[in-house]
Amino acid sequence: MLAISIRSGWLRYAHADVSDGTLVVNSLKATKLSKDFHRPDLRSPDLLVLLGIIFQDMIESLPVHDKEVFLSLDERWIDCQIFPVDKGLTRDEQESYLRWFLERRLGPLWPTSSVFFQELKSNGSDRDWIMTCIIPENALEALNIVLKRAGTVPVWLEPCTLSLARTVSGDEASVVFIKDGRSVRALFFFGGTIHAFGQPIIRNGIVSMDTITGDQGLVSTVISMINDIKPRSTKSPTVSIKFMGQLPGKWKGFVSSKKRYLQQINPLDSFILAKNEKLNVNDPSDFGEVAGLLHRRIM
Amino acid sequence: MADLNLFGSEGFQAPVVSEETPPPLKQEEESAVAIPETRPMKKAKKKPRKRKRKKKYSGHEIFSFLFSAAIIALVIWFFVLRKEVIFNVSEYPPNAFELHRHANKG
Repeated sequence: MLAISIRSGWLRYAHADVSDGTLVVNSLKATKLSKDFHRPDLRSPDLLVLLGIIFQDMIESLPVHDKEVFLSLDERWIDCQIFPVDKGLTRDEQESYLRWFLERRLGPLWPTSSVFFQELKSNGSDRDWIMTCIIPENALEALNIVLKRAGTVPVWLEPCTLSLARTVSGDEASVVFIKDGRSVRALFFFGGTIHAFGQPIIRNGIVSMDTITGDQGLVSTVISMINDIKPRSTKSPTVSIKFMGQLPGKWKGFVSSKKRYLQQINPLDSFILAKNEKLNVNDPSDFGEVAGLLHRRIM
Repeated sequence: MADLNLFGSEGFQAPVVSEETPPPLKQEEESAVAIPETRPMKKAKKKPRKRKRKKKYSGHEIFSFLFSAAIIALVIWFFVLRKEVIFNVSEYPPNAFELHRHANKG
């Protein structure tokens, strides 16, 4: 199989062999995409050519021409949000409401967008939480065509947030801070299910959320819990706090002051790496989405 | 866990029930992860020593050396040796000028 991630201008991928539910990673690679690919026009007819350039070289560079492709794309490609809906509504009513709401939000882009929904496992709140993913029809079609033309089978496509969530989720309430270039992403879990995510910022040692989608009540509770932790406190927080990668800038001070309460995650820890294979990896934490796709394959 | 497949059908998707959970990391697997470190190290090839080339001074380098030396010498002369330079200034006050003019006329 081939697990491909495109996030923040980087293309990262893993080639792995799967047999009897066991997965052996043969190669891991990362290449920086040129600036033309950072913010592609997803509704342009030229997208097919652009994707062809991205994928063809990568597929040709692989040692074995594999068939299955699992793909993870960032928010430049897939708009992923978590919205609340009333609990009393039926599934059809929920979908009708969300379509009505998204139609107003997207305006003229609505007729050319593909929309996907999934209800998140309840977290005891008085509302249901629905994850929505929106991708332009043209982009979805182009991805399918390019991967099939390259001789592969497109099996799975998801936003990078879900790939990361699969890699870092636990069984309990938790928050995970993830390095993303010079910024940080935060994913909030309840009962092992993602309920919110966004971009946190840190000022004078105080953590707050710059952008957020999902259960804001959960987020504000968790963030205030984190800010209340004193460096020398002996009390352990009721939520588990994790981080992945070397967090940049002011976050370094945050990690060092609260390291007693933080757990570091290495996304590649649970995989077997093939013998005699060169693994071209500078920072394993950059392969969070790729690891999430590999987990998806063996689920 | 939320599992939305955008290659799947549009609209509401039911959560995918996992057939198997990811296998837990065994001790043997941990050692497998560390394989890249246990690989035998390749012996470093000795690089052939490069012969040192004789440096030749170009005309430009010689000129710039001489030029800078001349500037340094001038600076030293100005600050150290100029005391020895005697400036003779002959000046005629107005009455002396008159006398001088009459003397020349006569």
